[in-house]
Amino acid sequence: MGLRRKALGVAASLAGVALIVTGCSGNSSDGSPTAGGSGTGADTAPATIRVMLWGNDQDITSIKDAAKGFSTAHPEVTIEWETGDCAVDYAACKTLAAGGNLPDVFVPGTWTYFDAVRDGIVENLTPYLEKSGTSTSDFTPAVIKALTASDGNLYGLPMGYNIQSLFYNKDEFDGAGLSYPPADGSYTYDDVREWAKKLTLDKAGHDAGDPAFDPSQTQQWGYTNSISIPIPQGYLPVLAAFGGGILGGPNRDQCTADSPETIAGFQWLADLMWTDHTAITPQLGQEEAGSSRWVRGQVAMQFGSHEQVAAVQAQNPALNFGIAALPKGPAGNATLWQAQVWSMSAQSEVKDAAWEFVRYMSTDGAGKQMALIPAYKDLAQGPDFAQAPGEPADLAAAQIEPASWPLAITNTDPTGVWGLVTSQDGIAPALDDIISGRKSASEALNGICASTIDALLQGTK
Amino acid sequence: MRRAMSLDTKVGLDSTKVALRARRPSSLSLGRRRTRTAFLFVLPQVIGLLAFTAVPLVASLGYSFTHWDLVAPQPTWVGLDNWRHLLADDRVPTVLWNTARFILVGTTTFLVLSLVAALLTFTPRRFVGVYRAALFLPYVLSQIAVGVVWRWMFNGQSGPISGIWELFGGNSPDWLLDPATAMPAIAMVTTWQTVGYGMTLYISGLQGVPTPLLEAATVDGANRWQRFWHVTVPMISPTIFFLTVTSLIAAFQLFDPVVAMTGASIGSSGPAAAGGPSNSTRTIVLYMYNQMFNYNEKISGLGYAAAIAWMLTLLIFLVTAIQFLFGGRFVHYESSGAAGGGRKRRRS
Repeated sequence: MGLRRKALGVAASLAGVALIVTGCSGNSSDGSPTAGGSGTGADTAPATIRVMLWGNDQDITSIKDAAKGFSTAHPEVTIEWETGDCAVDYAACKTLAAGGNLPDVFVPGTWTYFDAVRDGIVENLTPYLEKSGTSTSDFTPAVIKALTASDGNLYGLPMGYNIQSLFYNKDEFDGAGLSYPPADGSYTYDDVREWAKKLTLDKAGHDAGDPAFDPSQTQQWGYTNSISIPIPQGYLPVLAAFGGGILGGPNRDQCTADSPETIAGFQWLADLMWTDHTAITPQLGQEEAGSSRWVRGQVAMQFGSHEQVAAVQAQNPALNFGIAALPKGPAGNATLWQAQVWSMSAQSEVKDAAWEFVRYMSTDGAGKQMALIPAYKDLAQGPDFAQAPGEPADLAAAQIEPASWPLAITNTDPTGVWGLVTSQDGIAPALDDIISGRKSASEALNGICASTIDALLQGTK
Repeated sequence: MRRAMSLDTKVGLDSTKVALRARRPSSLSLGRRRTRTAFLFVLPQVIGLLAFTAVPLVASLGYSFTHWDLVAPQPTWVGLDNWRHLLADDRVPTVLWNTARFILVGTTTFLVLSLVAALLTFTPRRFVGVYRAALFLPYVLSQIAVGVVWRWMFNGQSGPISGIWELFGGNSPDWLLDPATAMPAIAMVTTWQTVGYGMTLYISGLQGVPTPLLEAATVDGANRWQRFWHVTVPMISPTIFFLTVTSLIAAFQLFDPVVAMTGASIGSSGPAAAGGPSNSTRTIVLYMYNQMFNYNEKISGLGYAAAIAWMLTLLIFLVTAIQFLFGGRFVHYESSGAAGGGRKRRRS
C-alpha cells in the first residue's frame, strides 16, 4: 500500500514537472503558434533548430551569411546546419519525412513545393503570418499567388526567385557587327535566330549564314538553351512565347503538348540545332553544358537565370556580357520564374523558433540568398540586387520587370503530374526525338495528348 | 619382470582412463564455450541479416497488399489491387524486355570477356600483376562516376568512341541517344566495370585445374583447344556456374548505370527522366523506383513498388532455380584430395 502511494506520488510529481516544462516551452501540441511565437523575435524560447540547405558552396555560404543577422537578433536560438534536398531530389525529402527525421526548416523549390504540401510535411504558415502581423502584400504578388495552396493557405515564404533572361556576349556581338538586344525584350525570336546565324563561326571564320560554313568545324556557337540538359526552364518560356506549353489550365493539369503553338516552339528550338547548326545540341551538352560554354565565351547567347552572373564572376570575370529580357514570340513576351521557398516541417517540435527563422530569412534577412532576386518589398531594386556592385547594367529591365508580364509563368505543380507527364511514359520519348533531330516537332508531338498524356492524367490522384 | 611390466602398464592405462574421465566434462564445456564464442562472433551478422534483409523482406510482402505514400499515418489495406494492377500494367512487359535485353548482352559479354581476361593474365609473366590490377580497378569505382564518364565517352559528336569508330570509316551512332544502341552501350559499360571481378574468380578456378590432367590430355594427343574445352572448362565449371547465377541476379537489379547514363535527359533530372531514349533502357528496378518516388498515379506508392519488388524476387528465384535444375548438369566438382589418382567426381 505504502509502495503504491509512493508510486502515485512520483507520478504526480512527474506530471507536475511535465506541465511546467510544457507551459514554458512555447510550443503547442496542435501546431498553432503560441504566445511566444509572436514574430517580434524578442521572446522566443531557447531552442535548437535544424536547417537543411541545398545548392553549391556559394549558395550555402550566401544563406549562412544572411542568417548571421538572425543569430544576432535571436541568440537564444541555435542553428544546426545540414545539407540535404527537398528541391532537386524530392524522394530524399520524402524519405526523411517518412523516417520522422525531417529538419525543422528546409528549402523546397516551386517545382516540389506542392508535393510537400500535398504530402502534409510542411507546416501551414498562415496562422503564424497572422499572429506575427507579417503581411503577404509585402512580397512580390506573383510569387505569393503561386505559393498559395487551393485551401487558401501559405506553406512557405519565398527566399527569392530567379527568372529567365537572355545573356549575351558583347564582344561577339560587336565582332559580328550586331546591335545589342534591347534590354526590355522588344525584339523577336526571329531576331534571335538571325543573330545566332551571324554569331556562329567555323574554324575558317565563316558564319552559319555563309554557304561555305562547315558545321563540323564550329568554333563559336550562336545560341544555347538548357533544353540539352535536364531542366525544363529552357524550353518552357519559348513554348509560352509561342502560345503553347506542355500543360495548361489553372492547375497545370491539361495537356497542351500537341497544340500548334507548342509544336512551333519546339520546332524553333530544333531548327537552331539541326537546320541552322547554330545552337548547342544534346550531344555537345553532354560533353559540356551550354551555359558553361557561354561563360567561357564559346557561345554568344543563352537563356539563363541570374546565377550566370555569379558563374561569370567566379569562372571568367573578364567576360564582357550583357543581359536582356527574353524576346517576343507570336503570343508576346514570355518568361519563366521559379522560387526557392523557406518552409518549416510539420513534424518540428520547435515550431516557434523555426517560424522565427523562416520569417527572418524571407523578410528582414532577405536578399543575396542563392543569387536569387529578393521577393520582399522593394529589396530587388536596391543594393541587395539591382544596385549591387558587380551586377550588369539593365538588370532591373531584364530580370525584375518581366516578372509582371502576363506570360510570366512558373513551374509549380499543384496536382503533382509533372513528373509523370515528362517521364518515359509521357512526353520524354517525343522530346528525345525532337532534340536529337530524329523527328520534326510535328511528327513527334501530333496526337500525343490523346494517345498518351490524357490517359496518364486520368490515372493520377 | 613381465608381470611387473604388465602391472605397470595396467596401472598406467587405468590412470589414463581416470585422467580422460576427469577431462571429459571440461573438454565438453570448452566445446560449448567455443560454440558460444562462435555464435557471438556471427551474432552481429545475424542481427544485421534479420533487421535489414529478413524483416524488410517480410514487411514488403505485407506492404504489397496496401497503399501507402510513406507520409500518410497508416498504410491502407487494398488486398490484391496492386497485384492485379501489376498483371494489367502494360509498362511491365516493356521494362522486363529491356531488362532481358541487358541480361542477354551484358551477362553474356561479362562471362565470356572475364574468361578471356583470365586466360590472358593467368600465366605468370612480366607485369601480369599490373595487367590484373588494371583490369580489376574499374570494379572498385562508383557506378555513378563511371556512368558519367562513359556518358561523355559515348558522346556522338565529340566522344572518343565515336572518334575511334570514325577512324575506321564508319558513322558513329548516337550511342546513348539512339534506342537501338543505348542498352548495348550500358551493357558494355557494366561489362567493362565488372570484368576484373569475373577475371579474378576465373583465375582462382584456373589455378585449381590439376596439371596432371592437362599433361595426360597432352600425352593423349589433345591439342590446345581440346585441352581447354574438354579439361579446363569442365574443371572451372563451378566458377562459371557461380558467376552465371550471381551475374544474372545482379543484372535483374540494374539501376545505377541507367540513371547515370540516361538520367541527364530532358524534362527533369535523375531517375524520373532516366530510361530513355524512347523508353529503351528503363529496367524493372527503375520502374519500381519511379512508381515509389516519381509518379503520382492512383496506384503509385510503397505498396505497388513492393509488389513490383516481389515480382522481381520471384522472377529471380525462378530463373535461379532453373539454373540450378538444368545448369547443374554441366557442373563438375573435383574433390581436392584426389589429384593423385582414384579421382572422385560427382555431378551436381
